[in-house]
Amino acid sequence: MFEMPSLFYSILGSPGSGKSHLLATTTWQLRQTLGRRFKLSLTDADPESNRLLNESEARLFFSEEPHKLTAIAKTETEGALYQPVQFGEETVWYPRPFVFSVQPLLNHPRADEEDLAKAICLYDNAGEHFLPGGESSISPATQHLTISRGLLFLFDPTQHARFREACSDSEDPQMSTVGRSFRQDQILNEAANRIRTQAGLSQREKYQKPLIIVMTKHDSWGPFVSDLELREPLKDLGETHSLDITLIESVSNEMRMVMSTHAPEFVNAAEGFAEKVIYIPVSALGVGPEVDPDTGGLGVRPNDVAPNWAEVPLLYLLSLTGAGLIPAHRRR
Amino acid sequence: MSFEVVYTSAPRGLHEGTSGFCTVACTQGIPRTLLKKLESLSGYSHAHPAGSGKNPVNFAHSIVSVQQKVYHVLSRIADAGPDHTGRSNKIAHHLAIPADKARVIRGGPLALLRDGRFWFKEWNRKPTELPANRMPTAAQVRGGDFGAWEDIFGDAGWAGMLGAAAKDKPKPVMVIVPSAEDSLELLGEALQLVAPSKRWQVGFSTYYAKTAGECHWRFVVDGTESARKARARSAALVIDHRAPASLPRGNPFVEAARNGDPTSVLKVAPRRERPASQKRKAAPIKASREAASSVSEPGNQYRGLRPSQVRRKQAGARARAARRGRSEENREEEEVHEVRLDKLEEGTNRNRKSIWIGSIVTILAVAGFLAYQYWPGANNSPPPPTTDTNAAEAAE
Repeated sequence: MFEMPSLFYSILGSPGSGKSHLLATTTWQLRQTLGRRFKLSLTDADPESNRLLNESEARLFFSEEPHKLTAIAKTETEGALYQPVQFGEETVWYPRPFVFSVQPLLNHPRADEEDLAKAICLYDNAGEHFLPGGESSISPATQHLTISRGLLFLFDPTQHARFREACSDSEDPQMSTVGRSFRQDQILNEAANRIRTQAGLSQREKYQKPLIIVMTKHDSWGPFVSDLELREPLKDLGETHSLDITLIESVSNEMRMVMSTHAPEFVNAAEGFAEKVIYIPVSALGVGPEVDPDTGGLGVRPNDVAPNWAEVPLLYLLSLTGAGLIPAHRRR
Repeated sequence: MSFEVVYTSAPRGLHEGTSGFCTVACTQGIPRTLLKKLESLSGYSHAHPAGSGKNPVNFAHSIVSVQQKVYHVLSRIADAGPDHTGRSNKIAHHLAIPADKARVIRGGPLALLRDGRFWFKEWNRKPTELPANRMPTAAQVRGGDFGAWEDIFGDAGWAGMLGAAAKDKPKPVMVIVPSAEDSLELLGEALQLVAPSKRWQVGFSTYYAKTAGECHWRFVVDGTESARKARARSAALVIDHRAPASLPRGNPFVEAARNGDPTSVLKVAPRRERPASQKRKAAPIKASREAASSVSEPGNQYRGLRPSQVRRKQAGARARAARRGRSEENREEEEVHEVRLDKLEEGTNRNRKSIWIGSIVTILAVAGFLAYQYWPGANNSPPPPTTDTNAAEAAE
């Protein structure tokens, strides 16, 4: 793992915005798409580090009782996702990344190029860490934001008052649950401040790395605010596939218009912070959750899980920053 | 002063801007560093779906140090059903007691953790500050047999391994149990083998999770990741219900647990404190020799006595010899004391002489300086030299 160049990516968003679900479905989808379409293998660089993520994948995609409701536990602010390090009498909790190695398969057109292999490190924090004041000296949980090659900010429309109004007919219980609203623009501003402070950027300077606004739970709100259909953004090149940047950017433009209508404050915050902002809708599960009558919690039946565009944000980020790992093309 | 923190997932926390997992209640005036430390002790892993009623409760006692102050933290961490977002939730209630206050609480940490009315099991209220010095009532811990150890591990002697590990400086022990429901009872039984005064030195957790506090007795549930890790690699002693190894022979703690008699290892033999004078210096050789010869030489005054009478006589002789030694030593000490006083006096006299000589030298020096300054004609300076210009003018 240490022999390969590392690519760090951070996933951030408010509590309950769907970070853990998206991460589980993204890796599951990538394990298949990368091999089949891009002739790349994606493996756990350290199964011990990835254990929690693998458990989440197994829960959603390898369930022995796929018709029964299941759920991924809420991410803790301490515990298995963090590594305690003792400094004298002080214990500092550092976040542990999920680490994957991506290597070309034998039938990859550039299989003989050694430097194509990369270690991908993904951080999944508890959303509480991104709230103002959520980071402390004994839990510097979000310092990875500074070294990341790109940010995946999860914007959850079901937590936004205007979107909730627009989608009042949605059957998703998350749309009507009280106490789930967050000022997500403030969470982005908080992250921006931390990055500026740690990276030494001035207030006027813009973040030069890509900022992907991942609009989660598209199945829940998408039909109510646009008639966009999400087609597969890949093109067959014979030996391998290529990512259709034109399609992704046109979807982004449409999503930007939706965001400008319902959440203009967020668009301002995002575009005021980063030079390059892309809006990508995803549905990690493809279906809304149900209320479990036994426990009162929300769950999903593995049988019904059908991710839609879950892997696209990371594929797009890899195509921009992965040094040739994911080929991409623009249509005329 | 003791401090409490209640940590759970709520729409709004006690502190501005907090939400999700956050502190919903804490004692007024709690230091911020202690608050953060207690929050970081709130880790919990659901073994079953949240709200199913099957998840274990973690009763824990940790020893933490915050800004050079040691606290004993008692925690009750448990599943709290789904939170306001429909996701898994937990509730962690911590009580931090300063070490000096904790030591005087009889019954040890487990007695306080057993007060079911004190510990919050759910939080459906607004965030609030708790009044200072709320304390649980120490429950009566009933002494009993080691039946739980016998039932689960097949030999009550395994409890003795925990007692032995806590004998001097507590060492970590991992106990793999089939169900967390048994942990509390196993813990209670094993703690009988620890002297009440030392129970506060043993950190424990009945459903162990990675923690920032000092934890010695760690109960982990079979089938969980913690149990797998403990079996794979653990620097601590591992007691596994599935693969119990053989117990060491002759271990008094093991025997005490097997016999159901914890008092046998709690009877602390009275330490034969030697007098301070003997600690610093051994008895004089002469006295020791006398005592030794009087006891050990054959053909002495003990001939014809029964062994028990000989032992008593020997003990008496030893005591007399020791007393003699002590009195001689006291005499020596007095002499040393006198010598030291003499030296002190001698030093004081020397100091006095030095002060006198110094004063005379200073007076003479001042007198000389004044004479030089003010004696008539003593300070007449020569006339200033004339310049060439002046000389030329005089010539004209």
